[in-house]
This record gives sequence, structure tokens and C-alpha cells, in this order.
Amino acid sequence: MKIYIGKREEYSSFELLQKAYWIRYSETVSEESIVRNSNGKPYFKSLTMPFFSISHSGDYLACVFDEDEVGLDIQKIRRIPQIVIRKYLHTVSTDPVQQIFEWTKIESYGKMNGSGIPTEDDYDQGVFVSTSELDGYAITICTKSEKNQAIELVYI
Amino acid sequence: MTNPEKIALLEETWELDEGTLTEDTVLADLDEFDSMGKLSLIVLCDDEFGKKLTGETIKAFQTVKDILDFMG
Repeated sequence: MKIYIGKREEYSSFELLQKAYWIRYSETVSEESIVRNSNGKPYFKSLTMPFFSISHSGDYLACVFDEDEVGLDIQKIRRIPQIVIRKYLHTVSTDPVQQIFEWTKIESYGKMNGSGIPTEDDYDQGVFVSTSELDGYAITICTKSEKNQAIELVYI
Repeated sequence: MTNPEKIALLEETWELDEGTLTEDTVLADLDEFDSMGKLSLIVLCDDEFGKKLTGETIKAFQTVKDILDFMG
């Protein structure tokens, strides 16, 4: 699965999506082609177009396309506030890097389902794939399709 | 709770050094005011002040003072 990465100083979220879509599908997309569901999750209006997810953190923006519902989260690796750890993290790890990866799982799952932050019991669907290939960042995608699980970062 | 006490609570929540924030600190200039920082603010406002923060309200925050005013 290709994750398209851009610098925030160079792209807005939509500009990154637009360029990535062009690279992937050789077609242009307009802002009018995007709609949001009742939870605010964005979709392409056309049913023939793929699902997508966008995330940003630190200096980077990232987006991914998939044939099924997909959620993407990128997080700059840093300490997570204790208040968030206590309330949301399901891991017992005290390693800040492990905690960030756990957080990206939570975010990506919530973005895939468009349902906000899940509880531990909600993890009943979706496949998680994570990478630390981008130095200093944790990236996780959660997808309902079980193929194309290897992540390839594409810098644009 | 006084504004200095609320600021200290914000610094503790975002794990910032004491004295980092003032009422005039612009939130857009803070690395900690990312999605995770906003989530921790939601939890803080709910747990400590009994106030429900919405995404729209957070979007309207410009400075730390705006958060302090919301906390009440």
C-alpha cells in the first residue's frame, strides 16, 4: 500500500491529496468531488473512486488510497501527555515510541470507521500496518482490505 | 481556579516546562497543540472543569487566553 508523503510547508491537505491522486490515477480531483458523512469523515462523492485518508503531524502530511474503508495516522514521535495515556491507551508499555505506535493504531482505526476514538472492545475489524521508515515519525494504516499490506512511502 | 493555576495545569497536561505559556501565547505556534494536544485539552476540560469541548470551539481558539476563558 502506497502512502504519499509531503511537507506541510509545501502542501495543504487537499493539494497533497490532489497531487497523490494524479500520481496514482492520472486524473485530477476537485474539492467539489469530496463529501463528508455525518461524522465528518471525507469521501469521494463518486462511488467509482477509491476511499482515502489524510493525516498530518509535525512537518509532514500523508495520504493513502484504498479500495475499502481505510484510516491513516502519522504522528511525530514524542511523549504522549499522561492524561491521554490514562484515558485512551490500552497498552501497558512505558516506552514512548511504543505508546506513539499504539496511539496511531487508535487514531487510524477511528479514522477508518469514522467513529472517533475507539475503545479496546472496538478492535474487531481492520488490519493494522505500521512503519517507522520516516525518521522520527510513526505511521499506521488500518484497512478493511486484507491485501497490499506492505507499506511503501512515496515522497512527493 | 486562577488563570496562573489554569496555565500551570495546561503546562502539566502538555508536559511543557513551567513558564512556557502566557495568556498571549498563540496556539498555532505551539507544536503541542496538535491533534493529541487538542484531545488532551478535551479530556482536561471535561475531567477538571466539567466542560465539553467541541471541535468547532477548539477551532475558534486563538490564544491560551481563549482556553482560560472557556474553562471559566
